[in-house]
Amino acid sequence: MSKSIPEIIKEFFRSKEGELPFYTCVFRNDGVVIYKNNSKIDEASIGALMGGVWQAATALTSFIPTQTSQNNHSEIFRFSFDTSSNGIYILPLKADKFEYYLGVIYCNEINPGFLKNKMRDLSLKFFGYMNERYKKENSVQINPQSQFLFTEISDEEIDKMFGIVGI
Amino acid sequence: MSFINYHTKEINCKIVYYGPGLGGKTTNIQHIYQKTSSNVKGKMVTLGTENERTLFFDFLPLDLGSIRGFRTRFHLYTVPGQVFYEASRKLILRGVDGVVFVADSQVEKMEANVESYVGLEKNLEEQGYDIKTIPLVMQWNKRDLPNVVPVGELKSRLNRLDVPEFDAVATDGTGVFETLKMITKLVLLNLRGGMNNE
Repeated sequence: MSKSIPEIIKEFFRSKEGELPFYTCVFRNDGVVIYKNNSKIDEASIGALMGGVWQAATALTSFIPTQTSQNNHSEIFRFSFDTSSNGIYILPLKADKFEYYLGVIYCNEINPGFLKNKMRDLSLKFFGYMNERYKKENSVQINPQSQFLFTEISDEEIDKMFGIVGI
Repeated sequence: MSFINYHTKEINCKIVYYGPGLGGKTTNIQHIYQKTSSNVKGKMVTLGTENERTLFFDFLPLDLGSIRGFRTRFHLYTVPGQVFYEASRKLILRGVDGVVFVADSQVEKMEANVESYVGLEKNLEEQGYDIKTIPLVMQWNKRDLPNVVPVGELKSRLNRLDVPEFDAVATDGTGVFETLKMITKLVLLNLRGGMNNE
């Protein structure tokens, strides 16, 4: 069975888990977390906050006079918020025509600059891995965009869904 | 931008509560947070100001049950309602799958409602969405107050698209889950098969 991009992302980062900082995740710009290496932290909150901070930072770059196209920003910008030993670092990951983000939270780091450099290297390695794997897996089945996943849903089904959450 | 993972049979969707300042968007989310079982909800994240107004967004992840074998996870966001936070509202609408417009029913808030709705229309358009086709539900909030506009007037000024609408008193929970259930249904019905790798 062919692998989806999220699965390839998971596969790549799982193979690197020994090298990753305290908390590392890969998320989409709407905050959905694709991969994380630390299940103790609430991934949905982290995803929403990292997605939000990235989007806010990207919007702020429009005030930089030399930048003209927002699409160019994500290729060259990284987000860093840190002290000399703790911090947050976000950088974009390209995967086929989609863009994901590598988010890192680190603590008690003796050399954060080295860590960031390592993460940038990792993103480049990922790019190479993705290109290689994705071409191999190019037989991914495509469902026509025009097809709806559900053609009808009854009120009872919705009530049943909400019943599970205690309502 | 919904996320359907066919391998794990999981659906992720983003719903945004939009509307004028102090209209009750955060109250809606807070009520949902309070009333749902702890095992299905994540931590509620609020980026607010010192006087409890929303600064950037409120966020609540909610794991609903399964539908036709797909596990569903909804991410609920609110936008800051205050006029000067337009940039934040635009950002939060990115990747949205469905919108709940929370209108304040009070007579003196009618113009703020209209202004906010026009802003929603414009901001959606800027993000490449059409308000006529995106799942949308209207909520007429604060119906318990004495100085409210008749529902017919709210409908004629704000719901020309004739989308589903609900009366609500978010402070006591009236209409909150009815609204959420409807937007959930519309969002699920609007999901397209898409690509397996998306």
